Amino acid sequence: MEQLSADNAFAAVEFAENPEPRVPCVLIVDTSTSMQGPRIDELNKGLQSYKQELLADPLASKRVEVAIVTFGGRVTRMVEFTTATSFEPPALQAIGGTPMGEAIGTALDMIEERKASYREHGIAYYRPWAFLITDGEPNDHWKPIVSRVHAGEKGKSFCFFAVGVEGADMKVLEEICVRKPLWLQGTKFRELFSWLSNSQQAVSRSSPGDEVPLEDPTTGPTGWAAV
Amino acid sequence: MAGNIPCQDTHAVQIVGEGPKHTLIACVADGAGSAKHSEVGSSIACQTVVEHATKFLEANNLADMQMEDALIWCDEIRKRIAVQAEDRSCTTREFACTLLTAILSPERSVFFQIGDGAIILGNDVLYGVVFWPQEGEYANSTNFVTGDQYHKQIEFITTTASHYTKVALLSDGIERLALRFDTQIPHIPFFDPLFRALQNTNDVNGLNEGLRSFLGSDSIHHRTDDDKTLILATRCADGAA
Repeated sequence: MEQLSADNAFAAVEFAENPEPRVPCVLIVDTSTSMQGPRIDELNKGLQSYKQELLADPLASKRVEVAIVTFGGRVTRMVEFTTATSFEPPALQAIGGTPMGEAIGTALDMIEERKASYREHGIAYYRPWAFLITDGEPNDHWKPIVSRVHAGEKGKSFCFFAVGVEGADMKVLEEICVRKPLWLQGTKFRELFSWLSNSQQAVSRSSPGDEVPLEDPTTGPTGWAAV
Repeated sequence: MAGNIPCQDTHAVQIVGEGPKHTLIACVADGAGSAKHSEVGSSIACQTVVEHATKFLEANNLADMQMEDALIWCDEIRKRIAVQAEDRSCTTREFACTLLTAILSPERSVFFQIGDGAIILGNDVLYGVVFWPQEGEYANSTNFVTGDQYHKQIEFITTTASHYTKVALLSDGIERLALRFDTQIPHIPFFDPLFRALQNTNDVNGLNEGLRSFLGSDSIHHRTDDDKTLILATRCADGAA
């Protein structure tokens, strides 16, 4: 029997290749007419930097999955769930009305579909995020979505966050969202997406039992929100 | 052989008894990441198990041990944690930890587990997982000995099967490297080199140092979260642990 030294014992160890547990996040983005101009430009730039920040973190780049639903005139599943490496941030255009209720419903459907897919393939996952960004008020039948969001939060099916851009109807957001909706300062989309990727990096490396505390988005040089 | 390591934060190994009562007690307790005093919790868990197992074996045979005994030891862990919680004016949740225990004598083996991580057994031909890591719907959720449902969540096995010569206990931090999730079996290329080294070396301290730096290395760090604990033990031909 060969004598193995303490040193080369470990060099021979090979790791099991397991699919990484996923952190799914769907962005629900308002692309109605009022978002035209600097708002949509900054938002698009924010999406680019979001991708880069995720790619820069070894665990997050494998674990965070992004999907995008837009609502401007009609609801579009713009990006299906994908990890950062295959995420191509779309150049969003803003035009149309604000079917927010339908968009939220679509996003929550996508989350459920994704979870079912994970379970089917034996892939572990963290609690999914839904992140709504809007500058207006819904002009569709949105009331029914309230109970769906509330039930989902209560049953810990997902975490639902809402961010209002100037002009947003905060009262509507407060009704839909269990967590306190935040105001975006100006067009600080890049900071918003930086906060988002940091938060998801924290989740993607959290240990069992962790309630991941989120960095306060309202303070400091990287603050982008106001309550 | 196994290292005779006294109780540390997240693991404990003790060898007691002689001859037919020569028994290995191995324990891993992994603190919940967000729990402020998780090291205290896991330390209490390991110490309590080793204490009570040792006492139990002085008066009984391992064959007499039942799930009820493991639960009594868990109750003692919870009681001691409650005292600490009171002293520090916080909830027992701040001491949350998982618990994996393997107690092995020549004629009998007892295993119990609450939470994630895994206990692995192997012989010359194959390896198996005693209990699959307990995980909730979400990747970062598991059960803790401090939880309300611990008495329902505990998994316990006592067996006379002794044809295995290798045992490993690992915390959840290395699960994804050491276990195959598709087939729910241990990953042989992970364990073979480690057990070969253990069986062929006389330098246990050197091996421990090597294992410590291996678990802290970049190649592992890029693939897993924190909290990596690994205990390896082999049974020698003459029955000595």
